[in-house]
Amino acid sequence: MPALNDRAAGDAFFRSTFENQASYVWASLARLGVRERDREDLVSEVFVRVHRESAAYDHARPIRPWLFAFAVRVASEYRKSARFRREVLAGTDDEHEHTDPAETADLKIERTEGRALVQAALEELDFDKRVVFVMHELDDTKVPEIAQTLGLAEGTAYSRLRAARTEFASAVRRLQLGGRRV
Amino acid sequence: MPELEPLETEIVALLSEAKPVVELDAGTKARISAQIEAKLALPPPEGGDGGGDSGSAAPSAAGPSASTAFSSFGTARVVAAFLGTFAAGVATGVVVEQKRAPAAPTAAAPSPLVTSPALPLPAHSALNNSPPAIPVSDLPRVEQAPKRTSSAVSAASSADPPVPSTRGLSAERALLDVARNALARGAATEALAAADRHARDYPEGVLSEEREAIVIKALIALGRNPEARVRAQRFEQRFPNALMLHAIRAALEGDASR
Repeated sequence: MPALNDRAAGDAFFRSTFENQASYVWASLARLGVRERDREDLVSEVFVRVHRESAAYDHARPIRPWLFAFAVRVASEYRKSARFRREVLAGTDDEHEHTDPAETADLKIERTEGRALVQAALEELDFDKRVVFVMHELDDTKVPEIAQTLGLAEGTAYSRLRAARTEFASAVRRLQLGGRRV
Repeated sequence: MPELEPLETEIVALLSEAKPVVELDAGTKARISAQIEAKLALPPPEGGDGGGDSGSAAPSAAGPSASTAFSSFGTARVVAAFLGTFAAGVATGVVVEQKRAPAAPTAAAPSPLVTSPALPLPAHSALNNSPPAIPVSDLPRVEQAPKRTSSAVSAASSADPPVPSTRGLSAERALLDVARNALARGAATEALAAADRHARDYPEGVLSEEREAIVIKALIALGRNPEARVRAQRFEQRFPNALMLHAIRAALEGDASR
C-alpha cells in the first residue's frame, strides 16, 4: 500500500522536523522580528504550512533554508497584520522592535551582550535585507541557496546582503555607543 | 558574481555569539505542538493537505472525529516523541511502559497521551474527542489503517494487545519508543539494548537519526563519553543537516563541564 507508506513516511518526516527544528523556527521568527508573545502562535502556523506542503520538500536539500522560507512568509504576513501594526502605533511594544535604540540601548546592552545587540541591530534593517542577512550570517546559508530558496536573482540576493551588512555594522556601532558611552 | 568582502572581526565575533539556536523548553514546545494539532484538525483552507485520501481532509461518515483523529495522532506523537526524548518520567512514557511491561508504578492511571506536568490540554483540542488513553504503542496501527473510526481505535486500545507489526515504520517506531522511554526514566542500558535491536533490524531505517541520538544520550548517561563522542562525530557526518546536532553537542558539552 504505497499511499499508506507515503503517509507514514510523511508523518515521520513531519514529526522529526517538528522535534528537531521547532527551536530553529522559533529563533528564525525572532530574528525576523516576531514578538515573543506572538511567537508560539506563529511557530505553529509555520508547521501547519510545513505539514501541508511537506510533499514538496526535496530531501536532497538542507531542511533549514526550506523551513526558513516558511518563516519568512509567516513573519511577513504578521508584520503586515493588524496586531503587529496596532501595537507599533499604540507603542505597546514590550520588546525592542521599532523603538528608538538610543532610549533602550544602555539597559539592553548591559543586560545581554551579543545576542541582544544582534537582535537590536537586526531591528533596524528593512525586512527584505534582514531576511537575506539572517540566512547568510546567522544560518550560514550560501547566497545561491538563499536566492533559490527565496526565488530571488542571485544578484539581488548579493546586493541585499551587502546593503544589510553595511547597515547592520553601523547599527551595531550606534547601539554600542548608545549603550556604553551615554 | 563578485566576491563578498569579509566582515569586520568584531561583527563576525558578535554574530557567532548569536548563531547558536537556543533549545526551546519542553512546555513551550508542547504548547506549540498542541496548537499545531488544533489547527490541523480544522479543514485546510485550500482544501487538501497533499493527499486525496488523507485523513485530515477526507470527509467520512464518522465526521470530525475520524478526520481529526489521524491528525491528532500525528501531532500527538510529535509531543510524545519529544517528551519521551527530553523529559523524564512524563505520563507519555509511562503509558507506553504499561502497555509493554506491566510494571510502571509511577503513574496511577493511564493518562491522556499529551499529558505531562508542563502540558495542560487546551480545551479546544481535537484530542478531547479522542479516546482518553491511546498508548503510544498503538499509534503505529492507526498509521497502518488510517480509515478506522475512532471507536475502532478505542476498542483496539482497550482490548487487543498490540500486534507486533512487521511493517517498517510502525515496528521501527515501536522499538524506538522502548528505547526512548527507557532513556527518559534513566534506564540507559535498556535504552541502548533497544536501540541496538533497532540498529540490527533497521540499519538504514527511517528513524536511524533518532536512534543514533538516543544511543549517544544513553552513552553519556552511562558515563561512556569517549564512545559517545565517536558516535556523535559519526552522527554529524551522517546527518550533517543539524537534526538533533545541537542537542547532542549540548549534551556532550554539559557532560564535559561536569
